[in-house]
Amino acid sequence: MTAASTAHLLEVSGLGIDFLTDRGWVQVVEDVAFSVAPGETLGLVGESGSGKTVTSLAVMQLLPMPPGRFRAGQIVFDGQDLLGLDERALRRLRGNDIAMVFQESMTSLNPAFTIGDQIAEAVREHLALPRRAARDRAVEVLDLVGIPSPRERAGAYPHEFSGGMRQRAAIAMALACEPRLLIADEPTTALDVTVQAQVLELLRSLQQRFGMAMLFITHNLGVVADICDRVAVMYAGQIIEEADVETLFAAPAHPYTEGLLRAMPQLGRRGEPLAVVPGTPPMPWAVPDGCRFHPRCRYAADTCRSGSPGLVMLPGERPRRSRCVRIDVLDLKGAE
Amino acid sequence: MSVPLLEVRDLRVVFRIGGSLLARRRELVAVNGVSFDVHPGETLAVVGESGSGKSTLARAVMRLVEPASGTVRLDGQDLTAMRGEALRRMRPEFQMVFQDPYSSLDPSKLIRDTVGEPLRVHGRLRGVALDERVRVLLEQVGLDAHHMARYPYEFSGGQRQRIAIARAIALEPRLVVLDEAVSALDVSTQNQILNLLEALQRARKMAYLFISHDLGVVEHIADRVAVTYLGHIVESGPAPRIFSQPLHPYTKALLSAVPVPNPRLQRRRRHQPLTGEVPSPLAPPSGCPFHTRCPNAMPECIARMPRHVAAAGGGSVACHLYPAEGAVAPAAASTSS
Repeated sequence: MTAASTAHLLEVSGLGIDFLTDRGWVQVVEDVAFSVAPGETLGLVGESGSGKTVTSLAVMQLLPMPPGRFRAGQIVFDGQDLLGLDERALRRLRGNDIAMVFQESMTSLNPAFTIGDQIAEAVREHLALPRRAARDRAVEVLDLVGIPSPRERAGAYPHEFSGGMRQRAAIAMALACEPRLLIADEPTTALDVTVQAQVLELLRSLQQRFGMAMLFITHNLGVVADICDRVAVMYAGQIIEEADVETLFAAPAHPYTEGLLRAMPQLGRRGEPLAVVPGTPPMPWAVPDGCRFHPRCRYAADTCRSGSPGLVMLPGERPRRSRCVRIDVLDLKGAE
Repeated sequence: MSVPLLEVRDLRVVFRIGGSLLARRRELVAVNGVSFDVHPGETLAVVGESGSGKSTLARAVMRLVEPASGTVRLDGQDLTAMRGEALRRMRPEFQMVFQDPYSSLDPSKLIRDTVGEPLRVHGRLRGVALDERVRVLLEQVGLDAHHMARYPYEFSGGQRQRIAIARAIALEPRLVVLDEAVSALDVSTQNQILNLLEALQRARKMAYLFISHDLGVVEHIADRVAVTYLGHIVESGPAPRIFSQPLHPYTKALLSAVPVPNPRLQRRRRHQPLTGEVPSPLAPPSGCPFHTRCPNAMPECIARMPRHVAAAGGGSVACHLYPAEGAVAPAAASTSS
């Protein structure tokens, strides 16, 4: 970690988000709180439907409202509450200070314009550079992300790029204005594993160079182990555990995290059945009382079936938080 | 070793792309001279990245695409030479499960009809007996009998994949081709399906041709592994040998690119990743298909394609680093003849 934990760039607290569905308003994100310091990478981990993408879109203020609505909470970026900002101020912030990379770069690149024109356009919008300087900046960032012959390739359309090159171009566009926070939502999930390794290496080196903070959304624990400094694990719309990456893998503090680690095929033994967490996560309109994980938890006791457990700081040298009410009496196993 | 159930020899699949006034018709060789065997009751995993031809290979084995040349024999019978009724009579022996359980099930059909269809079409069962068999099949894949009267949209991804598996095993096939069958599932669901596949295989002695890009899953489920790159098998062998002593530079690069879920270990093993991406199959490199990205490339790699030589510990490798059968200590069994 490069920054003192007091100087947070992004601080999310008490975040609650509802969605309007056939069944009325249902809460899809509840009591989500985390912070990211400059130069730090926080991983937001969970399975589909856990609320990690909704949370990241909320930080960017990109959630469609309706069907979404904020129920509660604060999203403070550099001392400023984003929930109070108007659309003009938000537009200035997005791209300039906060940028985003998505899983499928085709969704963030416009197929009708060349890669270079799109990046130059973003640069002109945010940095008020003249046309030629913006174009030069586009070529510069394409070079930075490792696109060969960037001046020529700037004239190519997105469909002329391979998947890996498109993701590099999307990263180049996100970085063109040197954002202080990069939100990366499954940025390597659609890529081949050898290309994934390249993109992770690229993000790491760019972060070292510019000192930006990263909020890294992924379901892949191998990727988490590779790139994250701290990790927040989400389940059924809540963060259920948060710790630094080594602690989380070595000594998980929530049965769901333990279950995820045990379920990694690499950590299983050949010839033995793979570990499973029985059942499936609850639908947002049918979350159980008490701990949301208790119906699937092998350690569940009566205390887990009522109330609404909070994310509690645990004693110990390294700061970590857990939502498990029985964590004091459990001896959970890590990956090592 | 037993007599192979599936024998694939020199299989080539060619797609013709484009062709108009302005653009010349081009040839895309998706599968380029591939040979392998699958023995009764075993799992052969075919691994590779996009463009490796692994899915086309699966479809060619299933006779869903026509090969340009080569043979696919099932139980000694040449599937590639079969047409019409003869092929239809062979179908119960080899079945397939696809990646996407959302598009592979007919949304307008009840689960009873989806799972029972193969039994009905092949004239095995009807009426009450058919319903009874469907009930047993659903229970074997971990679903309830009352699910029969429901539609696919009422099921989660994992449950849909169970339904697809029930349908695939209805005719008691000896070979099931699984094309990225667990790739779309979350990790906890994925393991439930992998455990189901292993239990079914033990109970029914089926062989699996398991197509996957996920090496973690493959290490767990495969008996043997074939590594593909740009339409070629570059290395094959017993899974423990491939994972502990990979020989081909591509296999090594592929294995080291998979991040391991252990931060300390992962940060130690990180290294310069392979540069570039898989070349377009429309313009494959000369010689060895991997030479454009290979850290060990030599002049002869550009000039000619290496032959497969037997590997110590089983299987074979096609790489000029291992020029003769003696260079890699020869082993008794070679998977590619």
